[in-house]
Amino acid sequence: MSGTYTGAEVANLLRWQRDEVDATLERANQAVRHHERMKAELSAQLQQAQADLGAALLPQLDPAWLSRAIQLTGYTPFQHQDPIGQREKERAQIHGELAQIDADPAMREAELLRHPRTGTLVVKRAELMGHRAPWAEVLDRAAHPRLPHLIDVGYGTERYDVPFWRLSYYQDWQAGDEILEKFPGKQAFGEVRDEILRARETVTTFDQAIGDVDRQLAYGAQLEQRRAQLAHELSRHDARYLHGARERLVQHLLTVDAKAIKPWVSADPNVELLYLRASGLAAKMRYLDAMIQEHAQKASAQLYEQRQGLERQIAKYSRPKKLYATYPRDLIDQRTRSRKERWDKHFRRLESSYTTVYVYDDWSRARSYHDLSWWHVMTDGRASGSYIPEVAAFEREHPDWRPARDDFDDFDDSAAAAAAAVEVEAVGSTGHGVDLS
Amino acid sequence: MDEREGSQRLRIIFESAGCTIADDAPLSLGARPGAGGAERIVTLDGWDEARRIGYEFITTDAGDRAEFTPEVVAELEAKMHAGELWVFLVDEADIPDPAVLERAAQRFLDALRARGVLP
Repeated sequence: MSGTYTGAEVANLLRWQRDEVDATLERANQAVRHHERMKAELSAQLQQAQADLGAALLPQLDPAWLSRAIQLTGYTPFQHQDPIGQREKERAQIHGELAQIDADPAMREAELLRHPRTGTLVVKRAELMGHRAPWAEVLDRAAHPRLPHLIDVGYGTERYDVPFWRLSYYQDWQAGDEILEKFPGKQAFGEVRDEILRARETVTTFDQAIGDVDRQLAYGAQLEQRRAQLAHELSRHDARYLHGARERLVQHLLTVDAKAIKPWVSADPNVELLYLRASGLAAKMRYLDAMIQEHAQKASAQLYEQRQGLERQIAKYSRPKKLYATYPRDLIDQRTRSRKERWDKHFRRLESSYTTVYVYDDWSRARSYHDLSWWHVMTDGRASGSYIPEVAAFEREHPDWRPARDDFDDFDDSAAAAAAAVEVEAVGSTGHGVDLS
Repeated sequence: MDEREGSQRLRIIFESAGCTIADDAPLSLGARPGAGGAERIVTLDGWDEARRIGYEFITTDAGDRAEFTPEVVAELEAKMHAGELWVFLVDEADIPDPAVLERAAQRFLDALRARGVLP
């Protein structure tokens, strides 16, 4: 239909297009959020699959099982690293340290020394605290902000030489009197001073003795703590080594090219199936990540950019000087046409491919492939995964293989067209000579 | 309590004891040793020239540290040891609450009475 739109009408069409972009953007973001939840579930499944594979490969860490595991996995480092020897060496070290701790008198006589009620150190500490208490009480009683100064200047002794015309003389006098009041039996500050000095010295002596006892108690407690730690390590020593060896075997299997692995693991059908399950789950996580990155996160970024462009255009066509200018209807219709159908198709395909990969669990099917590409096993070649590097590499090595159809290719064209729609500024107004650039 | 408030309180107490106090009064300490016989004069916050009794707040803000150097304070104290004059010395580092200052001033004046300086 020929004719024109006013600037106000163009702005309304652009608003409608922006609302459509908002809805599509939300759909892309929903896909990302959904994937995060699915990933958490898959991660737990993969962890279990790896644990099961490790347990099947190496039920126990002994020479016979280790030799079998090496044969099944081709993991040669275990031939010279000797994990069993390492385990025994570390066990001997732990036993050695435990023996040393047990031989220490502080540990041998732990009960005698540190029993909470009857331990000799505990009793000694209580006695020392008891003897210290009356002297500490003297110091507590004499506590006064000016006491250290009075002691320093020799107040109450012949050494005191502050003359009476200085204010500090009276402050000393007042502080001395206040302290003296707390010692009813004493007549002069000099007597109190002697008692305070004796108390200070005595408390210092007791504090040193108590410090010695505390150090012995702390040393004993440290030994007990270390002993408990070593005993705990010993209790899980075998399990820790077994777990470590299993982890290394599984990681080896999951990182080495499947082509090399398959002849080894296929010697034990159960191990082979568990390997395929772990390998398939790990591949599934990588593929789903890549799928969401390629078809949801990139779309999200693109839609966001498109939305920004539309906002700018809406503002531009809403300006007073453009509101009543006219623009060719055909061109505007073409540039502002709905992209909803194309985006719906795009997300339907993403959901379909995602679900196909996510629900796949026929692990044994991969047994029949010599060179394994889980993508092709899972999708039967119904979806293009060429944006995933490992899939692309597989396809380069197997040029005869072709996908049945390339699901996302036409999306790229439609997305580019949608992005171009915002370039409405390139449209000229009809005959008014208005520069819209 | 600053120097001004402290001086006012001391003035009241000293005048109650019979002193006639002049504010910011000059006091000659005599010839400065080794200075060609030049006279050394210090300014006291309160001073009764007739009884030779006074008081001085030594504060940094008032610039007293430059005037009441350790040598000047030693010279003043030498004169007090000799019974020539009596100046109640208050260092700002020791300035307590007003009640403590007033009690100390009373005791200083009691000490002068005990020495027969004040009736």
